[in-house]
Amino acid sequence: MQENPNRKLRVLVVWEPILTTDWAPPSGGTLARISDVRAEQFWDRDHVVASSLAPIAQHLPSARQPGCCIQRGFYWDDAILFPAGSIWSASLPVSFWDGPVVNALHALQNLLDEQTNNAQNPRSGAAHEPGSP
Amino acid sequence: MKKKASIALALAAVLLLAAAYLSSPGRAPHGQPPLVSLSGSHAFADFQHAFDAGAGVPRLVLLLSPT
Repeated sequence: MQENPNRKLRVLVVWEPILTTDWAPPSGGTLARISDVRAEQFWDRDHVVASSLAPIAQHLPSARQPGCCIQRGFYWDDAILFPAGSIWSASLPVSFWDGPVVNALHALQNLLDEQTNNAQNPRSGAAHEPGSP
Repeated sequence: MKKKASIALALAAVLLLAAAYLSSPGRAPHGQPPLVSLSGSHAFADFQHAFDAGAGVPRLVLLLSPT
């Protein structure tokens, strides 16, 4: 995020209790780990977001099912990218879903770069579509 | 005896203060909205509202554990 401060992106950071040490909401120090102003942070003690994401994952084709991470029955340590224009529903389109977050960042960065390039140069993006003349 | 009671009271007060401090949510970094606690009957609605409000741009949801 810091490498692309002008990229149009909204980040919703959902902190949820997964480990035995997660008995309290995130501290100021924890929240400060994501300092970008495009972010909004949530404390989800009851896993309502992870629970609502589960049916969305089930709608994904098997090849795009998230390979990671479920703990205590809830998704966590995942990065999920939704395209512009989408409104929340059980069949919400997903551009990217992978984890653990630290390992997914490189692929996510590449995808965001590709989307930015396609938005800026729609013709060059179309030339890479499979089956295009 | 009185001294022991005072020490116990002081210790209990410190523990209570520490518990209150640790269980209260932290402050979000400058420029971000305050941390939203998703709880109660409108818990998911609060998140969905934030998600849909950013519909003009891609949205990245990160699911993380505080520790």
